[in-house]
Formats: sequence, structure tokens, C-alpha cells
Amino acid sequence: MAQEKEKAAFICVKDTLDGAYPSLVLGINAARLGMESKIFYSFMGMNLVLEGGVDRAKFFPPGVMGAIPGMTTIATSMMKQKIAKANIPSLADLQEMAQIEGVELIACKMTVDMMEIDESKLIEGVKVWTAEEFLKYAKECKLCLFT
Amino acid sequence: MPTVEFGGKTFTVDEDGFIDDYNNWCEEWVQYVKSQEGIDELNEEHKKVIQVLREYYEKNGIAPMVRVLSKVTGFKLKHIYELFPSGPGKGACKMAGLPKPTGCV
Repeated sequence: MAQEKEKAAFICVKDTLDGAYPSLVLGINAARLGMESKIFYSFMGMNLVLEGGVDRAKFFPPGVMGAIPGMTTIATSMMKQKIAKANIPSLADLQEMAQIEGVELIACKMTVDMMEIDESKLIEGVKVWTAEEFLKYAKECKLCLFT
Repeated sequence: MPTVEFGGKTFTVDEDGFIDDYNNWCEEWVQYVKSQEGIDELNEEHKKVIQVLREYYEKNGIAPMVRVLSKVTGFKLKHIYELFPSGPGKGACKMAGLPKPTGCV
């Protein structure tokens, strides 16, 4: 009998570049280590599993810099350049790689209801789970990280 | 370092099974990785990916980003995974004789 895979879960609640990358990078690496890997998207993180969502992700500079008009656009562009220069895939590529490599992307049911999200707008392959469904999985996890 | 024997040749590999020296790459190594990857038959598309990876590595000293590999070969990311089930890093780069990609993804 095949040995059951160890399980990993990652929670993402932010739709910014710094909110999106950690869960995807960790999720892919968990899958590559042979684990069953899932990312649970809740609150603003939900935007990342909507069609085109990863392309809209921004980087908000911390502190007063973030309050200066236009600074977010500049900071986002600079951050994307740094990401590319470091040979790191774009969010869209990373999300596609994650799904191909078996990482399951889960949308939070409460957020879907609260934000009145049309489930047909979710990217292909995304499941919608309630908190209870997620916790049943999380209880079995060897790794469960809030990113 | 561990060694593997295939087709009458001996290769030294790292802990993840990547060839230790780019210059030791040869047809037997390709056939060895093919057998490890569970690829039935190597076709022109596999060879194109290998060629692009080796040319890029020789020019830049690193493996290309997946988007670049996809653009230069003309293959969608999903198709590259179909060609190399372990993916562009652990599958294609390994077969092309490149060192294990050092990044997180």
C-alpha cells in the first residue's frame, strides 16, 4: 500500500506582491518535497485566485513612502524588476507552476460570500472551502503556516 | 559524491542527482535521465528544450527563467511539464547537464 503523503497548508490573506509570493514559493516547495500541499486564500488574498488577479498585485512601500501619490506604482515596478533580476518567476508563472505541480489553491467560502464573488470568476481548479473544511485538513497537516 | 553508472559510463552526481560537471554531459547522461524521468521516447521537442537550456547556460552561466525558456522554445509552460514530468528544473535542467538551480523555485 502506498504511504500516505504528509500534508502542508499555507494561508494567504494579502493580495500584494509580498503577500502572494511566500505562500506560492512554500507551497511549491512542499509539493516538491513530496507533500500534499494546499494554499488557503482568504480576505484580500482571495483576489489572487480571481481571473487576472496575480497581474494586479502591487507592492505598497512601508511607512510614509506609501502615502505619497504614485509611489505604489513606482515601488511595484521596482519590485518586479528586482524579482526578474533575481531570476524569480512572475506571480502568474509561479501560480501556473504551482497548479501544474499539484499545489491546490483553495478559496475561503466566507470571503466568497462576504465579497459577493461570482465563483465563475475564480481561476480554473480553485475549490471553495468553509473554515471547517479547511480546519479538518489543517488538523492533519504536518506543516501549517500563516504567510 | 555518489556516482551512477549508465550505458558503460560513470557519472558523479550531487545529492539531488544532478551531474557534477557540465562538461561531462553526453548522450548516455541524457538516456540515463530519460530513464529516471520515465520518458518513453525523446522527441525533437525534448531536444529543443535541452539545446535551448545548454545554449543559454553557456552564454549566461545560469538556467533561464521559465518564461524565457517558454518564449525561446515556443512551448507553453504546461507543455514543458508534459515533456519533463519533474518540471523545467529537476527534469529538463538535469537532462541538459546544468547544475541544480540554486533558487527557491
